[in-house]
Amino acid sequence: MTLEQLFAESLGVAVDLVHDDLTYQSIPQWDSTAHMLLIARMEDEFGVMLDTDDIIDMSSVAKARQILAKYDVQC
Amino acid sequence: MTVSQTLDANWSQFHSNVAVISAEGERLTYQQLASETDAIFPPTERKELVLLVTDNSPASLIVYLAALRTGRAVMLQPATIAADRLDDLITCYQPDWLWKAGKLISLQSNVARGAPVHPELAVLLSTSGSTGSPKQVRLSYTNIHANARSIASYLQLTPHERPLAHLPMSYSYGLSVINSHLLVGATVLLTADSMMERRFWQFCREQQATSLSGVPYHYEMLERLRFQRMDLPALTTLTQAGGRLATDKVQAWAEWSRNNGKCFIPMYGQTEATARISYLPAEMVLEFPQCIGIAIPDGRLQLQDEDGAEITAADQPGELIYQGSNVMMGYASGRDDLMRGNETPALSTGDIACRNSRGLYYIVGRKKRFIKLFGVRTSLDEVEQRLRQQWAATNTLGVEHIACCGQDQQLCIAVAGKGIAADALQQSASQYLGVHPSVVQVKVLEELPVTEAGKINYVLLQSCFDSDDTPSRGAPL
Repeated sequence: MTLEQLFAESLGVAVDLVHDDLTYQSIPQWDSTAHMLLIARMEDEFGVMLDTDDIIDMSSVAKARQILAKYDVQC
Repeated sequence: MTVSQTLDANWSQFHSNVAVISAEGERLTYQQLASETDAIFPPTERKELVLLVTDNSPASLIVYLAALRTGRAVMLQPATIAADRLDDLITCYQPDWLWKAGKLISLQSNVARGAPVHPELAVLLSTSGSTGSPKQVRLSYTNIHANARSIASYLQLTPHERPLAHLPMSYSYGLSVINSHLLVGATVLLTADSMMERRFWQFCREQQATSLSGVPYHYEMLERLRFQRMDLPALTTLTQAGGRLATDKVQAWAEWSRNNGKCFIPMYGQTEATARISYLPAEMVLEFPQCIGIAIPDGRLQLQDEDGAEITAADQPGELIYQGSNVMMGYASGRDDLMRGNETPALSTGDIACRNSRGLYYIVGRKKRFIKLFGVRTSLDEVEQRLRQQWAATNTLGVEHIACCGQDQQLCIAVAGKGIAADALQQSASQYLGVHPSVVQVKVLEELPVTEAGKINYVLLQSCFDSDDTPSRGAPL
């Protein structure tokens, strides 16, 4: 699964709406609840265990990619 | 109870205490709070209604308190309210003032003068916020004061408390955190940030928050955020309300709290009781994690059988009935209802409960069809009715019959019809209700199960959803 697909499914939006510049709370669908679901999906899908800083710093799609790269997840 | 004795009875004593600190760095003492609130509204002879769209800013808190202190009634709504629903409320309740996004607007010229407002009416709150119903709970000055006093008493609040007030002010639990702390001269740390933001935790740490409140999904977030590994020495109290937290989770939080010198206090309540009805004393949580505990100070709980007779035997189920000075005046569905006085001597909670031999109450079921979505009590009947109206008006999805069932954090919608796309329906329903699609499950059935009397059989309907966890589009009937 691509990162874009994962975002689209977790936020409940169309995949073409997901791009690197999409930021937390810039669309109503990416609220704190969706953020939690997004994190849960990411941990399951990519087999990583994110820490507090990762979760609260994941403020955009680009940032998510960067954080996942720390855990050797290329997406 | 006079108007001047709501929350500010002792403010002259606290005058140099800091009342509010916001995440944006604003800071107000009780003295400043008093003088700011006095400057909001011009004097009036007639009792007015204020519609306050709160954003958890100090400015919106000031308007709320100004309304209380000047004897105006105030309706609280969240900043996320849709524009058309706000319009509906304005039409329905004819407020004299609207406060929104930092601006106070007089509506007196636009709106025909509404019917009189009862002198005791203080606050109007929504019960099922996200369904956009105009139904409101009418709370009096006595209700607000009594519940704040009870909470301050059982949580043993002192002026040294610094609660992180992050729940929306328009939500009864959020409002009760603010009210109970302003009553005792404590410092409310006010924020609109969520737990998922860095600034939330910076604010918590820098301002040395002493307590944190949350509904079950906040506790899920806290787990996800590895909260238990955070270093927050000032934070000593965790309260939980807004729906049932699973017993094993209650146990786990209680254990962690005990081992780390903190208090974890599960609480139970309803907006119809201003906020709180019962709490589980911290020292009993480990032994009785499944219980909602005992009535708050000055409140009384009892169980009634179907004929209204009191049940006194242990572990016998009956409807949970609450009495206390925090029980609402009644409901309102429009302006004309605001002139009505107190019509609710006792609150039938709709929950079926038992009392154990130690005098602690525990819930075993529900009489009425209510679920909680993200801590907001949602009437399944109301949602069902609204969805029916919606699809009757614009049936682009081919829905012929629709019914709702479910449990906390899971609204189940069963539909019958031809060529229905369950995904589209799920999206549409979650958008309409303003909740994340993950808590809305849609199933297409060939036909909805009915009882012999021809009514929808909700027990059977629910079993269609319980039988598997995967959102199936098949027809199990």
